[in-house]
Amino acid sequence: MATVNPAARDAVGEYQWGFHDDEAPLFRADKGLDEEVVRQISGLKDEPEWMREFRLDSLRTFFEKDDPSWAGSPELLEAIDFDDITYYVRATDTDASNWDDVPEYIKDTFDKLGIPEAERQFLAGAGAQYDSEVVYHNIREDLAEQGVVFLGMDQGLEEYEDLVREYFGTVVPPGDNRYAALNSAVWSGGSFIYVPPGVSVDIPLQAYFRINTENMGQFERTLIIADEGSYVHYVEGCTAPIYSSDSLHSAVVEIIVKKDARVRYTTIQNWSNNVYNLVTKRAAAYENAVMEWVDGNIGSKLTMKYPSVYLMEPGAHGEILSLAFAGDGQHQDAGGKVVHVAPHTSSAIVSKSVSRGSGRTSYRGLLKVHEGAEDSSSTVRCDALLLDEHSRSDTYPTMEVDEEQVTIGHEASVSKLGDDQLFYLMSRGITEEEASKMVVNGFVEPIVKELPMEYAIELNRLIELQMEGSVG
Amino acid sequence: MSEPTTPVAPAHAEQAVLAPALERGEPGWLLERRAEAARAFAALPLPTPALRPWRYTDVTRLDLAAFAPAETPIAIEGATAGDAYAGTLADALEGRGRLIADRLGALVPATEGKFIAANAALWSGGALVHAPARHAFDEPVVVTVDASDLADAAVHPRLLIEAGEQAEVTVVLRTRSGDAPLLAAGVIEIAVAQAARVRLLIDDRWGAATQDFTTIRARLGRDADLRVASLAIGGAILKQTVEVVLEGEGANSSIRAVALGDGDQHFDFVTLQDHVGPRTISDVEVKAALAGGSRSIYYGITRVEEGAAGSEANQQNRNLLLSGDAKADSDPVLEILTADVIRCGHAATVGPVDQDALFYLQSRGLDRRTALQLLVSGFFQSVARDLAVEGMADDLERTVFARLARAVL
Repeated sequence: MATVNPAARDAVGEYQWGFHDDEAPLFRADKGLDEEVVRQISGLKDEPEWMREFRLDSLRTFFEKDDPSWAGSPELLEAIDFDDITYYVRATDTDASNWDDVPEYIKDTFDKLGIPEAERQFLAGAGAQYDSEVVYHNIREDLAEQGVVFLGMDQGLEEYEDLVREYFGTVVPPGDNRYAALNSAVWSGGSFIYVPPGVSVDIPLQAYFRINTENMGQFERTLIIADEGSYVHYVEGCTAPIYSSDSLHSAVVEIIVKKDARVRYTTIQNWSNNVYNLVTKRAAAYENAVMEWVDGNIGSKLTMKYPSVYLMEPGAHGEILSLAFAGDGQHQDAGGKVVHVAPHTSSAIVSKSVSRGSGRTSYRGLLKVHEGAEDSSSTVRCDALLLDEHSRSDTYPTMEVDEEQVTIGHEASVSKLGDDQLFYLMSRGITEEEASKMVVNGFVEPIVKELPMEYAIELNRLIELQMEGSVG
Repeated sequence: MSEPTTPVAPAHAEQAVLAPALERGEPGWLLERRAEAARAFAALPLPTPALRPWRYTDVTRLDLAAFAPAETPIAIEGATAGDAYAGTLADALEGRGRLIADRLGALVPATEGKFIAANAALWSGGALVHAPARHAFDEPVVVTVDASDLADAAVHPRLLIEAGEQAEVTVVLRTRSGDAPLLAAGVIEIAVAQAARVRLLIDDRWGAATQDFTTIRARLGRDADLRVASLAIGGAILKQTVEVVLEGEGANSSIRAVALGDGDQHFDFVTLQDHVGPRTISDVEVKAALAGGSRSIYYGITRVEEGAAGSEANQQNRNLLLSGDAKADSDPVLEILTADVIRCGHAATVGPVDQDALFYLQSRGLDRRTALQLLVSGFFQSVARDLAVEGMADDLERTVFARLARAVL
């Protein structure tokens, strides 16, 4: 059942999750993008009129917009053929709420990714996205009793239309950028989470996303609403099978963190090295709220992703931890944005990036302090580690400060793997390869330690895989 | 049937450019270049904020027609001895025409942008500082552009600095103007040959209604050493682009800039440190102290190219906001294309003066304004102590005290 295209394997190298099912989806939209496709998607989902209009408006916005002028790899973006992408595939007819109801071949794929084990350990609920539709959902009963909603976005729209309508597209409007517009037009799947006031979800909610059809873009849409005084940690992990032609992943994530609430959103992105990962993630944090992004980018051919926090009311705090690892042929264009709108707000961005072989990492950030956001403070710290002669690292840290009573600092350094560090470790009997791995692991440690243990282990393993053959 | 329309404007522009040049008896090659630049000027649009270096300085509504091109009043003091030369470009055309033909516009081509094209077409007077191999100028060469008598005019300062192998020279550019509207579009080209040392100090004291758009570009040979220090004190808009190509192995470049703003003053610094040769070193430090509703913008790129193994780069931008209406935008960019670097770092800060220091000084009986004067003066020290000309550091300090005595803090 699991096969790997040998040509693709030669081209991309060994890829741990590089299997894919020869699936037969129940419905597959035609390739290409026009109003008809959008109507088709909306019709199949039996969506309300306003959502269909929202999609069609967004499609027009997409057609009007160009790629961002600041893009670091414009030639890669230009290579995307929007007419050669399938915008919607549904592999199974209904959302399954019970693991036993999930079709066998889908389960088989999940088994390879280790989802059942993960669930046995401490999954609160799993919304596992297989192709465009959420096929599996399970929420621990006590969470459901507390009123926590954890659904696929489509189901969320069906069951909580008023809530969705109130917030959908308010944090990331379709006009924000070209890929947000595209997502708004053709979105499918993703998670919808609502945490009621005062409820603390003490175990992370997880969802796995995978792309499984060649040339099928995945456009999941996630909306998280953390009501006053609540807490939730959402973990998103991505793995995708290898394909010989390029896949596009363009998600939108919107998060509303109300007064005194706290949300942490963790991503470990490990798309195979032919995926374009162009994602818009943004959170609005209100009075004394805390928003934390932990964003790890290991896979994909090109990632452009800058999780953002808008600090809307006094006391709000935003934190972004960004980790990027670019191997041969990869460009990780990642970073973070913080916009201080209200006084007494604070933020911190820490970015660690590693480039290997011909890999390129770019930190791209924005720190904006609006007039009136007095007594705000922010620190931005970027460190880059270069492993090979042809590796590349860029830092684009734009800062705009319109208010006097603030403390804003930015620091960055770029260095190579230290000869003396390697020499010391090797003098203690450690091989060069082991020593390199140790130095890199130490370098990314401040971010890895923020992850749930399961993910920290997986991340370390991924980095080791990336490091393989890096010496000699 | 309609008549074919003749492009009247460019021809006019060309004539306007060429008439005074003909009158000055300039050689044919220069007239041709001016004509080409005039055509480029007519064809080029004004830069828009869509271009990254112009994001925060919108000149699209600038009415160039409101500024009549004028002779650029330029005066040069400097001892000329032997083959060395410090004087106007115009006077040097006869004896050093070959050198000028080779070098003028070689680093900053006339067709590159609107303001540069204007300069290439319309510069007059100009300055050439030529230090032949192993010649060291004893005294700084002082170039003064004093446009105090001009109103609603455009001036085009043009400097060409040539330092041969192991030569040494310090050049000071002083700019002055009155309170009337003035547009200045300057171009400075600097070639620093092997092991030569060049110091350039720019002391901008433009009047309150002057808008200055100046491009400075330098190319450094092996072990060459360039230090540029820029004091931005006057002017309504000052946009200064300083680009250094560190081509030769071991070349060393330092850029220091200090801006002291008040009222609606708008400073925009763009820097590029392009490390091409191995073991090259660069250092950028841009500091702004901003009172009133003034604004400082910094956009700098430090690029370490693939062949620049063993290089070292440092980039700093510090902004002191002295009033609630002051603004600072900072974007220090690093582009590192090789892993073989010693260290590349940058840092940027924006904020008010250290409140503890302010409190301490006030607790010793100083009023707030005096305390701020001292703190800002101290903030500029790191640049002031490097100023290569005697008396400059004291002058800067006096200026800080005088300006802050009446600034909105």
